[in-house]
Amino acid sequence: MIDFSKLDKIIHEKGRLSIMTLLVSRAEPWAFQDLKQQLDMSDGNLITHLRTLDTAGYLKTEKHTGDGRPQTTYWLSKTGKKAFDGYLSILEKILDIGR
Amino acid sequence: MDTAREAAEQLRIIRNLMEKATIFRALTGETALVGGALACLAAWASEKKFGLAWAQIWLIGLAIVLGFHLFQLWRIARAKENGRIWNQGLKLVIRCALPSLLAGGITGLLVAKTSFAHNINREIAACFWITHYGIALLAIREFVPKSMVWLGWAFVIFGVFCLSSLFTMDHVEHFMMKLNGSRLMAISFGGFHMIYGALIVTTKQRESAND
Repeated sequence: MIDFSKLDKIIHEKGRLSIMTLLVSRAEPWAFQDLKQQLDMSDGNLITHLRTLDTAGYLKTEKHTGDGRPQTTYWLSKTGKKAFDGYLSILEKILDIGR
Repeated sequence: MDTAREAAEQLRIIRNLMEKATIFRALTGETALVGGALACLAAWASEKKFGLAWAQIWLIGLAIVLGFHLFQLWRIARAKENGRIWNQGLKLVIRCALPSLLAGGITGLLVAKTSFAHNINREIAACFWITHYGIALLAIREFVPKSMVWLGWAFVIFGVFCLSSLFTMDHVEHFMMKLNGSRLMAISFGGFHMIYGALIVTTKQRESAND
């Protein structure tokens, strides 16, 4: 029987799941401010979750320094995409068993 | 919360966020310009037609615009790496806009072939199509750029205004001398789309020039 112990603990947190979902939903990288606005999270909270995902190798980041304010953009790495797909398929299996 | 319910809750979070994050330009500037020009042509061709013959001209115009739009989507998808026409954005847009388009399209066709006093069936059918098209654009407001929401409101306001004018004016014949069904379609599907398309195309060119 499949249960939540098989789920990826890094993704299985509402804040990080939301970040991963946004990153997977668009092919283009997301700017920090856009993620913050979409998720309605504080700077500190968002940075903490992004660091956790980055440490796990799920994210790729790029810092842009131009004439204006420096900006960091984020997108999913191949490992991140694979982890998200795996997480989704386990959720679906759990629901199938529950029916 | 049991395991299955928690899994369902997590999937609900994923679905809601994906719907919020998906931005889809359901109508490109080029399609709006071509659609607008074809609507003006169809208005000219249908001016002296009545009933289903009138509706038929508009259906042919719609088929041509849809064909051109599919070609545009295919061209855009091909330019992107791993781009597909049948993507998440298109699925969401179709799912949300289809009920209004079907309801308006079918009732408009039924009205077009029905006989009304003063022969205002073309005008009523045009108002139904205009209003329902606007409602369809508003139904996809969460996934499309803001400009399309304004376009949707323009259609709804114009459609409702014309329909209420048809039923409240004392001299409907006088109103129809100036604005018959074909001309209402030309103003909305022709004029609104051409203004929208011109704004989108010129804005895109301005952005490219600034890059």
